[in-house]
Amino acid sequence: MRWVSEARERLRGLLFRGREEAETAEELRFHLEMETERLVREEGLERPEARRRAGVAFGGVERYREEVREARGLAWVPGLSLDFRLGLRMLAKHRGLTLIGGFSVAVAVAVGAFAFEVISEVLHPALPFEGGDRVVSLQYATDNPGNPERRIVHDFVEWRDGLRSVERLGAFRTAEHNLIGGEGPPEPVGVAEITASGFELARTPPLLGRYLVPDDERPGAPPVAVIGHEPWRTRFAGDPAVVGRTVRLGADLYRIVGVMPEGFEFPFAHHFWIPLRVDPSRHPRLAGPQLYVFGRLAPGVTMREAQAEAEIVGRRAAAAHPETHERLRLQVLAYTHEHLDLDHPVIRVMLRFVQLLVAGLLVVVAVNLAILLYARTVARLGEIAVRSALGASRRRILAQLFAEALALSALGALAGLALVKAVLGWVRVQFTVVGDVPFWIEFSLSPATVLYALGLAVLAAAIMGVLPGLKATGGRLYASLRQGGGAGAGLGRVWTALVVAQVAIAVAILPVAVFAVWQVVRMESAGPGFPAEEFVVGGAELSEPAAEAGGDAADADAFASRYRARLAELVSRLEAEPGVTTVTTSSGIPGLDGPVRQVAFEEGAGAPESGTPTAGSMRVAPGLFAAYGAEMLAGRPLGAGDLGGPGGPVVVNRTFVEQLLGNRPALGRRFRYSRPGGAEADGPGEWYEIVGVVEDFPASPIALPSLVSGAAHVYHPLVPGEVHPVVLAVRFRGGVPAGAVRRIREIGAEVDPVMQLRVRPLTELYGSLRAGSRFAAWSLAAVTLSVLLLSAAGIYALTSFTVAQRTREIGIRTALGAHPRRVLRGIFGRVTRQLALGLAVGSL
Amino acid sequence: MAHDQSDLLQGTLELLVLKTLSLEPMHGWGISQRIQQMSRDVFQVNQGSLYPALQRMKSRGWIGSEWRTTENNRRAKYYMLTPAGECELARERSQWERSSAAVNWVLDWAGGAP
Repeated sequence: MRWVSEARERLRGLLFRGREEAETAEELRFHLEMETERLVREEGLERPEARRRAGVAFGGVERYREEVREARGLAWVPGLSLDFRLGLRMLAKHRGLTLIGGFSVAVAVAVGAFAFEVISEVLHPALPFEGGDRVVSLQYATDNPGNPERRIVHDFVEWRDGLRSVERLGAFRTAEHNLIGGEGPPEPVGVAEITASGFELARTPPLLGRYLVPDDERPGAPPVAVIGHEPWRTRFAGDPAVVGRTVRLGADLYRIVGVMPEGFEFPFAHHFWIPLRVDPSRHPRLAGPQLYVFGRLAPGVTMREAQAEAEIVGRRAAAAHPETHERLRLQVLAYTHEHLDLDHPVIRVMLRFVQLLVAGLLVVVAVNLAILLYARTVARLGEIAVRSALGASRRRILAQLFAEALALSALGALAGLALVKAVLGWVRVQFTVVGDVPFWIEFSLSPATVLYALGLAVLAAAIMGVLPGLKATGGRLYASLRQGGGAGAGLGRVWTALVVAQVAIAVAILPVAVFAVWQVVRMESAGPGFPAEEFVVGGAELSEPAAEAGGDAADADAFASRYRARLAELVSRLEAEPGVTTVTTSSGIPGLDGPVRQVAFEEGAGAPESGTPTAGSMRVAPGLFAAYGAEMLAGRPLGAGDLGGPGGPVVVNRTFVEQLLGNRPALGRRFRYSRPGGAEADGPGEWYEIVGVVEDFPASPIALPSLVSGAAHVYHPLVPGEVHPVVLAVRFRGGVPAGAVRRIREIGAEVDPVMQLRVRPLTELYGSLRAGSRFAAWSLAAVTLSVLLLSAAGIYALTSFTVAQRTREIGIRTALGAHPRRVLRGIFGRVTRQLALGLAVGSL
Repeated sequence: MAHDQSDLLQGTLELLVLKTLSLEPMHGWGISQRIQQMSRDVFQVNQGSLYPALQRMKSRGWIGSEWRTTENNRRAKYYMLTPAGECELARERSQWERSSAAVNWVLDWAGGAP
């Protein structure tokens, strides 16, 4: 094909320009020498004369060299690099434009690239092992979307034997156990109970030892475990002889048989694997453990075929067991979609829409800059006209303008990419702390994103450079040559509309951004009102040993009493620790959790102003208020006598009295909840009596969600053992000492190895909660700022441009005696009208 | 002295170059000499214009190039015909024959029914 070789030649000409030039020179020199010698030989001329004649016969050497260059096809490219450099010099000269423009482009590119990276990670993930794109999940969809039926032990076994389109079928479930072993305190970890086929599916060889094999799943087989790279490094110091050591997970002892390599966290974000023992005979249908089922498409099978088979199997099951399976539909999904709930087409559309919106931001920025650059371009009309006269085609001139604009946008894009990189790094740190990120999501700058960002830069340069250029090199060129440049090139209706739209957008976003930033600032500066740095809080959970949930009432009672005993022992031992002032428990972290419920007051007890009164409810142990240093404003705090006593005594906080009672006297008032819900064991009709009012604690909202919901709270007495898991709060004197968390966990493990203490310093918790809202607010602020800056700059450019254009007119008018104000009004009238229109539209 | 006449149309130049190279690979100067020789001095190629033409033909894949040493131990860039060039030669040749035949018919027209 002709164009292939043509393209190759052009590319070679571009890349090896220096060499090609040298070769051409040498070739032409050779020609002249040969011709000279021929003339000397055949016509007997003297050498200098022959040389001259050869030159004449040849023609202009330079001219033909240029023609050779042009024939190579990319003659304008070297010129382009010159234009690019010229563009860079101009950036240095017009620093104001460079700063504003560069900043705006950087922000727009950063936002675009960030959104692109996140969205492609979410929508098109690739499992990082061989055959990863064919891994699927199976689930039973119910009428309740997002809540598939997972108690599928029987079905799993049937599928494993029966399904042909999916191979290596396996299942897993995650259990939280206390890890005791190696170095370091006991800590709660997520353990994957998984069938051995999972490892075969992932095809990743272990770093040490072996991974699970089907033999380990036999009932009665010795308990073995495989550990991941990270715990191997941190808890076992990378011991090469770790295979064979024992480790305790909860109440059971396991022998380590292998270590997986770094980065292997299949099926989700796991670092520990133990065999899943699946025994359908122990449970009736649709009872038993909740399982996630995965597998790989058999070779040559498409997703559609697998889904078809799944439907058939599902219907067969429904026919065989109508009472349980009637409403269930068997589905085959891409593996990642199950875990991130992405099969909803609405979500995908929304994500794409967000992407479009973000790209739109860039267009707005670029158009703006186009306006700014247009003024500059028009000033150079004379130069452009001369270039055109010297033989530059219109395309060439546009290419030149494009290159200059590219200088600015490339700079901005690079800054934007650096920004994105920093942000992604920060996001990664945030999420690693939380530890809940699927193993296939990477928060790093992928090459695709970099290309996308560069593409955005090119697009921006095209809009910024070419659009004004098109207008400038239109028919006006000769007109401007005659008139000496500058006159007559006005801004049409399109540009006006753009300016108006932009002002509108800026005005519309501004209040939202200001509000968000203000809230964040307020949130950060206001403290919780009590010394949060002295607290370690977290959940105390007793995990049930390798058994399934769903026992009978007797089991539940036995568990509750066991939990009560353990908790009491834990609290007393913690209180005995040096440095600990108080230990208390509650059903949630004050200021954060707690179901929000509707409050209905007793008849005639005084109705609040408006709206449905709601309050957050929480169960707290007696003495909690004292532990947090929360002051009682009226009445009495909850005491030990209130536990299980009559009358349902509660304490409310100050905001409750302000918002729901309108500051009327609260003591003695009775109310009840309109609807049952949450962890409350009482029925809907239970009446509660307010016996005390406590100060708000924390004194101000901690994180953005609680800003939105109300801050009124009701505190119920907490019966020990009633709530599981309960939130433990340990207060230290003078601040949390180093190693406090470790010590607490050790004590917990001593009380009961199955007791998991997920505790952390309260300040750390607050920090992580706020991080999200902080990030959102600052991003919004940056975007708004850039839009504002651009609008201001755009308006300034418009105005100065108009004035410069009409300087002569202004001079004449003033000379003719017009009042300065009238002249100004005439000029600024149009601009002001545009501004006003923009403001009006934006305020809506 | 050879006359410098007959403006060579660009297309014709390429045809002549292709023909020259079909005989044997040649460097630029050699091509210009050979054309002059083969056309019995009717065509003296404007020597400089040969090189852009060579570059164009190379871009289109009709000829390839290679640096070799001449008999006098000098380095020169030799051009040779590619298979695509051979096709092009045949094509252009038939096109030339068709058009020149047509021109001849018109010139020989002595009247009579078409």
